[in-house]
Amino acid sequence: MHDPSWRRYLRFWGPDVRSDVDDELAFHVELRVDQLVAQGMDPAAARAEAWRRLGDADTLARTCREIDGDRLTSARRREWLHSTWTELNLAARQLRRYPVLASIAILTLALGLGATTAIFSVLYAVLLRALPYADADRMVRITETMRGSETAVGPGQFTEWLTRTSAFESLGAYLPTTFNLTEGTPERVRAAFATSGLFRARYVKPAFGRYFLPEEDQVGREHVVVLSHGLFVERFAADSRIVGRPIRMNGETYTVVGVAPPEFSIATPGDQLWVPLALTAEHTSTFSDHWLAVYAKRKPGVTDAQAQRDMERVSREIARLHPDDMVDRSARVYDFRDDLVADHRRSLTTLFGAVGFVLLLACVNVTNLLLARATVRRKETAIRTALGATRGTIVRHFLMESIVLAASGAVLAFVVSRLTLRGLVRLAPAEIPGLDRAGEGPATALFLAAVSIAVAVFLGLLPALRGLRTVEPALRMGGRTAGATTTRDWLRSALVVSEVALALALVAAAGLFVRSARKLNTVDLGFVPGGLITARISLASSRYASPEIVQRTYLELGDRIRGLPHVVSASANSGPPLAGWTPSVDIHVEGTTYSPGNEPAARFHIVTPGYFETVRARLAAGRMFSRADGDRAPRVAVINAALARRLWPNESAIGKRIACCAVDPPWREVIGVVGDMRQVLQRDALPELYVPIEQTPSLAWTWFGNSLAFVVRTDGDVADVSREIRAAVTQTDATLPVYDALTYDEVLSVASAPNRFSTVLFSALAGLALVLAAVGLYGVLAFSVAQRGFEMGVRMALGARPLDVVALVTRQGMRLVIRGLVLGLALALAGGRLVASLLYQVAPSDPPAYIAAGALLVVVGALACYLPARRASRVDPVTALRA
Amino acid sequence: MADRVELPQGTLETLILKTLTWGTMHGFGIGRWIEQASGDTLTIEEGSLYPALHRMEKRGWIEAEWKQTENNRRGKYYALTAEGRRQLKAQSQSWLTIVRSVGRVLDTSKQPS
Repeated sequence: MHDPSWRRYLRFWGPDVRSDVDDELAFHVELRVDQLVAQGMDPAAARAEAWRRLGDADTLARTCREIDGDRLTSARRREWLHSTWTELNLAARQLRRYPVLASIAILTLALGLGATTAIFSVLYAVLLRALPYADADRMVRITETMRGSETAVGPGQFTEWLTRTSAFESLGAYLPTTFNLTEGTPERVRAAFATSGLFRARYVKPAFGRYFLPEEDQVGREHVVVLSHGLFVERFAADSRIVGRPIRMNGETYTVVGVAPPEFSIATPGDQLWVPLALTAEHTSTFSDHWLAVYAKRKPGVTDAQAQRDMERVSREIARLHPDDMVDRSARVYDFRDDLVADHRRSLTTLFGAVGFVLLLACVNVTNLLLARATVRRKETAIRTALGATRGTIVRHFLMESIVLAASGAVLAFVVSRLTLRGLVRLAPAEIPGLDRAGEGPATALFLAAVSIAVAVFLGLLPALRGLRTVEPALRMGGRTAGATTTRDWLRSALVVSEVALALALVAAAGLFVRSARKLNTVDLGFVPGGLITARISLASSRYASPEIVQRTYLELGDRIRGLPHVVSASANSGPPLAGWTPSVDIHVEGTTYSPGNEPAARFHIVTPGYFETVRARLAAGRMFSRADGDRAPRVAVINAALARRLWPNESAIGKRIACCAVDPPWREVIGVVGDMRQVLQRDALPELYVPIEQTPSLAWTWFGNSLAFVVRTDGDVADVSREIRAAVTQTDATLPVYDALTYDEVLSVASAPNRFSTVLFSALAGLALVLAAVGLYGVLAFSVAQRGFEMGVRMALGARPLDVVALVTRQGMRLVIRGLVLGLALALAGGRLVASLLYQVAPSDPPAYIAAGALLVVVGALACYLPARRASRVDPVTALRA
Repeated sequence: MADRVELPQGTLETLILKTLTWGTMHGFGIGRWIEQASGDTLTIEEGSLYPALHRMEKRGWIEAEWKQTENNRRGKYYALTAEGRRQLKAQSQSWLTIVRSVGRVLDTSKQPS
């Protein structure tokens, strides 16, 4: 048969189907010839006879191949896997011969991959994961706008939207509130008023029962409630028979009609139950007050832009009917998802970018290590090539090593990412939606696998190409390697330069965040938070029907709390600084008319006498409230410095008369101006108006659901005081829950959580980057010193002092560091702009952050240089030259 | 030389299994051994031997390995697997049963009633 011997060499690449069968038959013929010759036949005749007996050899071969068919493809696959496995084993064995190098590489990769995976799982859970609602891609939020900035929606406007818009298939209004749940132990629950349309705009099948019917949006029908799944489990023992039963809230009876599925939320997570929003005729004709949030679902096929145009048309129609209330007003449509995560998108993507840097650094570092080894192994590679290993085989071999490294790294990285994630969730600001879902599902594991494969290829390719290129010189070079070839290893040097650059960028970014955190820590809050605690009470039941009773009860409670041990002073505020919601009201000034759309506004606070003394606010002018400012006394107000500047920039505010909100017509005299106190940690104070509790416009109580927060100055024994306050409140009314009880240390910790999150993470990443860069630099220098032992010996023998050698090596290392710093500076300045919006009063090009980062890298770089340099200086010339 | 007979369908596989109980062997050797063991009454055609071997390899009764022979040729050697051993036991059992039954029928002199 046609000699297939050359095909055998293909067997290096695995079994070959064709040659297998052909070879087998050829072998058969050979044996038959031997047999016939032994029986005395002429060799040529014997060969002919052997082939004749075989019959139609081609058909026979084809039959056998057909039988083999799929078996061989699977065998081939098996054999390929087997050989790959063998090669992987070989690679693992070889790595085990360098345990230090291998562990450093694996650990480095595990940290890089683990951190990246952890951040990815957060990013995925918050930004990418599908929302659990039906038609989530069509969900929108609609706001009114006033001269372009968004405001809440008026009940009148909302009612018009329901009938006039054409872009939406469902539209609902939402108003957060709280209820005193008085089933068993009284408990304050976070709740919301919601119209029936809201549950259609945010639809997830209810766990039990139903959501609200359209007719339940009417006064008289609204005493029904949908429970959140969490409340259903905690308070009602997850017993579905609760559906259809009455429960007591705020002293009234509500019938449970349904239970929402787990983790269902409408606007922000945390609502524990929902009650229908029944708008009265008075409400629906009100176009001047704005206090609703509106959510809707676009009709299929309607784009966001079309919905936006629809809302603008409707706003113009409403403006024709109510021109006074619609000056400069329009409406805006936001995509729900974008809107929900808008605040976090920037910080998470920045973080992801930063952690990507670290992964890159880790890869560069490991590449560097492998390159070092590839250089040592040039000889081995050269010999293998000389013995016939193809380029493919060599590349494959290097790739196997990097696969072993990447795979081991990935396994460890999984553990690292789990631990990191746990820390992240604890550290993260509470309000990031979906964060609790981070790490769930296959996305994270898939990401880790994909990135690990990319890393393996990245790691393997460079050393492999390196190994191939240096084959011939290595063989020619013979036994001794002259130092110069390795010191001019520009590739490894370039990698170290890029490591230093990446590290500088990350350290500088961390520096910006640290600076920003320090600015936040030293920010002038306008009050003294130490020893201060706050706890909220809501006099919401039918027992507190009139404003007079509410006011008297709060004053009595204040007296009671003031008498508790460890309490220095106590008073109440509807929205204490950094810890409460405050509504915005229009301010009217006696004798001044503002042009439409230019009216001043201020945040509205109800406070009890002694409030400013308790929080230790600064009095800028006039006096503070006293007990004398009662309901029969002249009507007074205290304003903050920001409002004083807004209203009377050039004159004293004291004695001027103002009124707030159309419901407060008798003028109030401004009796005092207090220094600004921050409502939000990161922002300057807005204008504020304070009224004494006994002079509260009665409508204002409904804004707060009759609730005030007590602010208590203690002598430091915070835990005891919290308990005592609860006891005191219970003595007054056993059905009153105390909630949102926090020390101001806790309040500040929550308020600074977003900044702390970024600061801690960037610092951790920067620290990691610094270590990686140092290890990389050290590795390159140590290796080069080891390779140049001979050269060092010659230098010493020719009279170089140890100090000269130290200087030589250090200069080599620091040259790399300086280049890295220059490159890193450019990188950091470019990257700084990305984090600018996350900083507080720190410019993204803040010089101290960059100087500190640069200095830190120089110090770390010098250390990384010094160790190898010292080793070089201790080379014994005699030993080195003999080697 | 004795009269040559054709092998009944399906029995070749049993014989191959039996042959391989002596150890690994290449296709030529298997054919030769069966012919000799049968006292040269059986002829093993290459046209049925090799397809049978490949079929049995696919079923997992036997497995193949390429080996170097003494005179430096490469040959494909077959060996029995555990499954092959089980097959041999089952097949020789039923083969002997058939032979015995057929023999008894052919030998009987009684007329059916």
